[in-house]
Amino acid sequence: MKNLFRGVAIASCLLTSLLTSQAEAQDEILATGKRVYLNTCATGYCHTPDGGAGGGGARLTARGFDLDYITRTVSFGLHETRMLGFATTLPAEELQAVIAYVASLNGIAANGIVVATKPPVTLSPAAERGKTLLHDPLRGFNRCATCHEIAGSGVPVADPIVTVPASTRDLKRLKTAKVATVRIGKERMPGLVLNQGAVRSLFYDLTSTPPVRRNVETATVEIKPGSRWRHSDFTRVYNDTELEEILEYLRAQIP
Amino acid sequence: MRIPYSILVAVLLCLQAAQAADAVDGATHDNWQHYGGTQMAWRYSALDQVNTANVARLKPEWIFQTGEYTDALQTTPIVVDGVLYLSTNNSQVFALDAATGDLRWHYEYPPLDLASGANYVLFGAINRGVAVADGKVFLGTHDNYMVALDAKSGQELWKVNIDNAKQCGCAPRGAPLVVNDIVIIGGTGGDGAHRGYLTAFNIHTGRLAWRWYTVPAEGEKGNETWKGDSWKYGGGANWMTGSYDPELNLVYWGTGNAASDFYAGDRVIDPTQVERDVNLYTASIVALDATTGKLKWHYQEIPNDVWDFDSAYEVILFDRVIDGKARKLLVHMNKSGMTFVLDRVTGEYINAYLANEVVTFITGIGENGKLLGRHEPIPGQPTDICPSGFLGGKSWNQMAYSPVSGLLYAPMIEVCMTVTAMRQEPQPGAFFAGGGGNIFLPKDREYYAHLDAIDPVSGKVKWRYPYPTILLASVLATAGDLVFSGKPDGDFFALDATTGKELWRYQTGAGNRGSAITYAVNGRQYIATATGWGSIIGPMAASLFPEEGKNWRSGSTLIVFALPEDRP
Repeated sequence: MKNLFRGVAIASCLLTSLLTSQAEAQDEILATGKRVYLNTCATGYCHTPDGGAGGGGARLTARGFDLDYITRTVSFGLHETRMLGFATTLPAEELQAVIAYVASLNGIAANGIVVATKPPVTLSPAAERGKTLLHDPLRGFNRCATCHEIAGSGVPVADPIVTVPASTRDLKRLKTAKVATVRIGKERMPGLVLNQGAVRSLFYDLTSTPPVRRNVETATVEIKPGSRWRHSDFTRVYNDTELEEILEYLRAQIP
Repeated sequence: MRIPYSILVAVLLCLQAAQAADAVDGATHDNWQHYGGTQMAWRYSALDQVNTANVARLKPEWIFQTGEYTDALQTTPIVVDGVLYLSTNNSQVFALDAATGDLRWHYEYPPLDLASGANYVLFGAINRGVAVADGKVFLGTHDNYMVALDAKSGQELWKVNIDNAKQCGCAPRGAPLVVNDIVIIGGTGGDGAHRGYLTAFNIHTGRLAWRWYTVPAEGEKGNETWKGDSWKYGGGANWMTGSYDPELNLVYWGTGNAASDFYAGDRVIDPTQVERDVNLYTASIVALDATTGKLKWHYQEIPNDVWDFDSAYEVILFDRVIDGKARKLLVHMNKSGMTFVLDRVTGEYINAYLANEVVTFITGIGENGKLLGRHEPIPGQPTDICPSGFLGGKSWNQMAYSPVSGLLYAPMIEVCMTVTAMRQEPQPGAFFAGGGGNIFLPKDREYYAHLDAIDPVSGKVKWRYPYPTILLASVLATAGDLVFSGKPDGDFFALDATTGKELWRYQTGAGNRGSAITYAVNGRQYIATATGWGSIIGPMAASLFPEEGKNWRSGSTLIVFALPEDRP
């Protein structure tokens, strides 16, 4: 009997301990979720800090939302509204935490939420710097992202990059065979030709940055192969170390 | 010597006319060529076929539905030589016969799809109009491109990216402004981690003409007003449309608020020195050389803005005789409702006044427009502020200015806000407001909006048209001594410009959130208004008035009015 009591006491203690640790974990998730919520959802014209009415976003507290709806909406947004999806912009644990927090505003204890997210690409410090350099807003239009879209960010002027140059030397030596010389009237310009149809022609004018997509009558345009335009004129804005870091980022994104 | 009475009257009338006379003609005639009517941004038409005597006979002449019914139609249509150009939030453009509404052409654009992750911009898709010049239509798209279309066919002629939307979270919302051979466009981003700018493209080639950053870079004058690296994400998005004085070749633009909006701890060097020139050139009026984009002068309206009080709204250019001297002036209403009168040649301060009745963010205005008794949000503590940073004392919807009455006609809002400021780390392109909050109605009031006739220099109110809920549509003034605007419940209405008396109204079926215009085709005057309630602050305002707000319907319809053909 004594052993039975001891067993019950131990089990009770373990259960209490388990419940306590679960509660602590849940508290931690909710605390993280609230922090993410305040920084991401309750900043500016969106939801109010307490989830109530009077902000630009909908009231979230006591709306009767179910967990599935909250998960889908936070992850992928709401069609034809201004609600953004955060599946690709928030780390998985933060996404799960903010879903749990919004769920808690609706009386749902959201333990063990599993959110379908793409596995994050872990970047080396050099690749992280390369990513920043590629997109660097402080360089104005003199940055790679003015003409290249990488991992969904940037402007897709150039064809998608499928092969990453092995070295900065190779990067600088990249040929620019697709760029032609386009003549309209008396003006000549380097052009990346997209389509030369019977009626209209489409090309990027590369005279200056940002490139301009021009749509002109084919009869008014003369297109000749070859150009004085060089990719190296643009890679020159970066030094070798920076170019190597950009390549490191490209290698991480493009197998 | 006795001066004959008739001569005395004539002299007095001339003097009075000279007092209000504008050397520049900012009135529209048959066309409505620019966002603000003309580059002076008066939203005033010299047409007077529709006037106080016959406005009651105004009837719908034609109606056009765009097909985008889930939000508001916020646009200002442009009319040139009998063709009306209408843009929608999702970057569609329709060219319509301005007399009949018949479709000439339709430019389709892929709609914004935030849910798929293919697009990423803050605030969603919003468009407030196109610009038309040189046989081209210029459109700022929801995914951050500037596009030029052939005005006759709708054929796309050129398209250029303004910035990487996935990174800046920004896109144009206001209409572009064409000045000589360039088209100038701003963008959103003032509430995001972004560094705002104006960009000018050549109208013929689409090539970049210039870019002017609101927040100066390291080594540039004005950068010293920023703490550390905060300038890199300093906001200053110029999200509405500016003005232009062709004589001075100066472009005038109101700049956006500093970021983060409500928390200044990381961007202000000395919180005790916030009287002038803090976080330049945010919350300012700037004059730029139109040819080069170089800054000529600036006047900062809200040094260290911690209330989200942009200066982004319209800049109205007008002339006045002050102390016996003819002055080229501008008048600008800040989002706070604080209204500034400046010499537009030099930027010299002339006067400032408060256009709202409920004001708690300051206790008054001092010398040279200094903010007295600043009531700032305390980080971490909910703080009540009036007017609200979200709706403002006036929203972006534009005032009108009549050179005949010499008055401004302004749609004002009396709504407050509880702000909770908090420190925030900038994430490129993401919201960076440094806090949030909720709006509320001030106590013991019978009306929360009013359309006022205001002397633009003194701020004296000549008449007031009170409205029990909200007014979020622009104002149109005409030589017919009329003022037009719209209400959230769908009523489009006309007031007597001299007395403020309501003379006519028409129930359009959806909330009025856009900007009315007037134009003429073959001698017949038309008045057009965009209808459809929405945007971010439309539903936000509706939440303050649950009973009325449930009937403020979204939509996307242009309704065009005219007098019956058998008019007397």
